[in-house]
Amino acid sequence: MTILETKNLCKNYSSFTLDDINLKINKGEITALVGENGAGKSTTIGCISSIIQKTSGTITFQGKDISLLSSKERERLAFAYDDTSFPLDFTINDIETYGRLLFSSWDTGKWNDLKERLSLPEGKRLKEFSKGMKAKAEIAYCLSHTPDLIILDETTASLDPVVRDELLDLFQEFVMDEEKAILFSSHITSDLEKIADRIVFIHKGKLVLSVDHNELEEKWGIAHVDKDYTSLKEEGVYYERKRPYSKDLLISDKERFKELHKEVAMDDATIESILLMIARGEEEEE
Amino acid sequence: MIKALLFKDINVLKRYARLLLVMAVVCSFLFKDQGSALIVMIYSASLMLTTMAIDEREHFLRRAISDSGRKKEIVGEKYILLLMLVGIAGVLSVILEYIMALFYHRPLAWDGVAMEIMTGFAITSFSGSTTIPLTLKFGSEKARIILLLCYMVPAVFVIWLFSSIDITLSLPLIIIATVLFSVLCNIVSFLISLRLLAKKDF
Repeated sequence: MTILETKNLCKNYSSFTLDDINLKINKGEITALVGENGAGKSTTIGCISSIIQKTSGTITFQGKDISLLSSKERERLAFAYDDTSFPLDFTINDIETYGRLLFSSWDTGKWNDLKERLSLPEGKRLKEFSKGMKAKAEIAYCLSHTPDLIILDETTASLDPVVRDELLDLFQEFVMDEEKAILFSSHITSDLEKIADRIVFIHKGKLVLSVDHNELEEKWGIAHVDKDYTSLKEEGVYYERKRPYSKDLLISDKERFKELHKEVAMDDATIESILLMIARGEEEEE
Repeated sequence: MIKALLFKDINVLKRYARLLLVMAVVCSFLFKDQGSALIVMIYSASLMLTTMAIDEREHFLRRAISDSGRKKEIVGEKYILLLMLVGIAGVLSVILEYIMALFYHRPLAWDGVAMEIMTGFAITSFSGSTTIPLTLKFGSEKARIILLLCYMVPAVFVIWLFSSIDITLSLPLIIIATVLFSVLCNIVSFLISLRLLAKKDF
């Protein structure tokens, strides 16, 4: 069941356009928004969170236009960013007081549990926190107002693998009851490989590919063919990357392709290899 | 929402409270006859800009808008904060004027104090109502420069205006006019700020 949907979402800047983004986030899923820097991930999330004014299109949350949500309905949505947005003089207890005053759904018990689990120090001010600690505080704050959907914009991008792993565990627990969902933007593909159920690739403001992660692992592949090879539509070639003496093809059904071309070398498609193919393929063509 | 935002701003301003108090006491001694209330009120009102500068530095508006989507309340809270800051400074000034009168064994000139408070109220309302939209539009750094003008122009105008009015005859009228002027300034400013925030991308 869809929890968040964008239809024909557009945002025009003088030097960049987010073009017709149609995105569906389903309950019980972790959706990863993948793309190179400047691809449009943060702009998409910004439009959803209302910090960026969309030019056109619709965004619905639980079937209702996001701009028409009541305060209580809005509380079901949580956003976490790459760095804390709280004043650096705040302590962990100040964040708790702020959250309690802001959200009717604030769960102090959950906050206390997370505070303990993530070892967030009570007396220290945020300015004395490490980057990892700040990210943990941001995530704990998001989880404590018991949302149905958490949207993370590069929240784990600058963290060390240990903290990232700790947070990824929390995200997996969050969606476990199949009623909640996460939209997760990152360019650290190893994180996405670990937890994402659906991968959405964005490139130059356009949604270029949305694929189930299991399907991607099982079915998709990258074929290395001759430079002069011309792909046929029925072969399920999704994308091409030209190299000096060969071509890489992104194939949606590697088994079928192998049957047709037994001599062709084939690699498994990973998030990183697809990201590179999409981003660099076009670059090389230019 | 407003409660949470006020909590955040008051928390941020805690460390400036002692400075405000020291400043009020020092000004009371320096300007024994008149003028301390005005300075204290202007300083207090300018703390509102400090909160906006911190919001900008920490990208707090991104957090506030994402959490609630209620831009009207986000803007409205700054006007409430301004009123609170000016009110606190006004009350503090009256208390200090009273203490100074006791200290120097002189009668308290209530008319003079009321006039000073009203002048301060008019200046800070006008300047505050200019500060909020300007900071939203240009950011706190540029706004600081523009603010020099914002404080100077109304200060000179209001002081000239009030000094040319006969206090004993028209104090109630002045109070009513000041309140109306302040309300009007702030309503217009609120609508402009709301429009600016609605259009702004973070």
